[in-house]
Formats: sequence, C-alpha cells, structure tokens
Amino acid sequence: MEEVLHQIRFAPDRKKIRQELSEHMEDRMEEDGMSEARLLEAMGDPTELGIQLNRQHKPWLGWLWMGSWTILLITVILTAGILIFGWMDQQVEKNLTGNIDLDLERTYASMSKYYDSKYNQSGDILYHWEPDWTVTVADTDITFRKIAYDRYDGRLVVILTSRGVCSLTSNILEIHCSGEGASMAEHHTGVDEEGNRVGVHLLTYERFPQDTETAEFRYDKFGEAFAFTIDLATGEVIS
Amino acid sequence: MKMDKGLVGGSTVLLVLTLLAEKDCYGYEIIKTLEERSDATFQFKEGSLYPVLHKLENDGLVTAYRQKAESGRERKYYHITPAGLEALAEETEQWNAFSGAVNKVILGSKLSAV
Repeated sequence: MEEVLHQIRFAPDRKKIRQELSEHMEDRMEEDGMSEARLLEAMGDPTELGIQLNRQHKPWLGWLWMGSWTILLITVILTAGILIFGWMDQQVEKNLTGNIDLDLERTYASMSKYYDSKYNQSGDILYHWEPDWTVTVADTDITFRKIAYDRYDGRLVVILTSRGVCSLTSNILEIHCSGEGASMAEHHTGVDEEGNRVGVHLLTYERFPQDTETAEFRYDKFGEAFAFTIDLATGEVIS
Repeated sequence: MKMDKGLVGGSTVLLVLTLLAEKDCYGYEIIKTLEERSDATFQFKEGSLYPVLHKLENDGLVTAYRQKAESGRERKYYHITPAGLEALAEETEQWNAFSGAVNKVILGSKLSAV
C-alpha cells in the first residue's frame, strides 16, 4: 500500500485512494478466500499501480479544484459581508435623517393617549374636539386632529398629523393661535410605506386667552398662508 | 485463453461503462462481473481498472459516492452520468463498426479461400 501511495503526488487524494484500495483488498480476501500475501502477489506491481493512478491525480488540477472552491467561498462571504454592512449603513442613515418608518395612525393614537394622561390630570373641564380639518402647506397636508381647551388655565393643545413632501417641523411652529405662537412643540416624524414624509405634532399654547369662544389659527410664512377659526363651544370650523 | 493486453486495453472504457449503465458498481464488483460474463476471458487487474475508473471520474463520465452495505461494510460506488451514457453510445457504435469491419475482412478472406 505504501509503495502505491508513494507514487501519488497530490497528497489530499492519498487518503481516498488508500481507503478504496483497502476496501478492494478486503472484498477480494473475503470473497475469494485469499490470504493477504497471495492477494498482494496477485495484485501485481504496486509501484506500477501507483504510477498509473498518479496520472489521474495530477497535483495542479487538484489544487486548482480546491482553489476554485476557496475563491467561491471567499466571494460568498465578501458578498454577504458587503450586503450586511450596506443594510446596516442604510439603517443608520435612516435614523440620522429621520427617515424612520412611521405608522401614522398608531403614532397619533399613542400621542393622543399620552396627551390625555399628561394634561387631563387636573380634573379641569377640558373641551375636546376632533375637527379633522386639513390645510396644505409646501405640498404637505396638515390635518388638525384634536383640539383641547382648558378654559380656566387658558391652555390650548393641538395635535396635528402631516403627510406629504416635507416634515414641516419648522413650519408648524409658525402656526399662530389667536395671536400667539406655540409655547411648546413636540414632533414625531418619519416616512410611511409609500415614501411620504409623515409626522405627528403636538402644539401647546400656554398663553391662550382664558374663557374665549373661538380659536383663530393663522399661518403666513415662506410664501404660503392659511387661516381658519374654530368655535370652541362646538368644535366646528367657522371660517 | 491468453488475451492480447493491447486488444483489451482499448475496450476497457466500453466494458466498464456498459456495466455502470446497468447498475452502480464498486471496483471489485466490476472486475468480478467482467470475469463472470466473459467466461473468464477478462481478468482485470487492479492496475488496469482503478486508473481507468479515476480517469472516467475526472472526465465527468462517472461520479462516485460512498455507501454502506447491510453487513456494515462501506464501499465507493461508481455511477454513470448523462455524459457517460453519451460516451458509451459512441464507444458502442465505434465498437460495432470496428468489429463489423474486422469480421467482414476475416469472413471475406475465408470466402475467397473457399
């Protein structure tokens, strides 16, 4: 066996050839009832066998075959790595530019609840209205979803949702209510499945006059304007 | 009968592929089957068979796999590929043409002798 294997130049194949020839010899001894000595004699010159087999196991072909598998494996790993890093990069960019996927209605619902728990504790009588009134600014629809008025503290809270081309955080701050700008604003912006910029915005007007009948919303900036008035007794848009 | 090794050598591929076309075999099985079927005319040595099998595998005409028998013995089996079947068809055609031609010449000379 060793004499045969000595002729095989490509080392990785030696093991397989050893296995095949051993099994062959076992088979012959079993079926033909030969002894090992007789079998070795019958099998002929081991060196010659080795030389013949070696012709079919050329090292350069063997290494080429193994090399191509290695190259394939490396390519797969690199591609996977690039794809993963690209995806991670994309996620980071999304978060940095505020390009997070936003479920508008879910976010509005949570904001609404949050507002309720934050502002509704004092037990004051609050007037809640849901006007669902939409205006358009900078190719973006702004919908006034919820208005709450604390008559006695003179505080008005407005929750808006926006959908369109812009995220409008700076524009929304310019919405004046009965002559005053908002004292506080909270924004949650992102992108919806269709790729629109969406946002939920909570505006608080602390210096809102107490005990008034109407809220007058005005916006006039960057070349666009709107104005409308809400009756605080009925929640209806008057003009 | 003592065969001229030269005659047999050229037909080894044909013989081996023919057997593998019928069923997958392991090395020693091929040697035995050839001996039985040829009434002991073909008695292949390891040195004649295994290099041929490995070459057929390198050329893609056969593939090899390991299989366990019920006795627990594991063997390397050879299986003919579609390319192998094509090569077999070609070899068979060549053999028929060759042997046919040889026969014609032999018979022809016999006839003329008569």
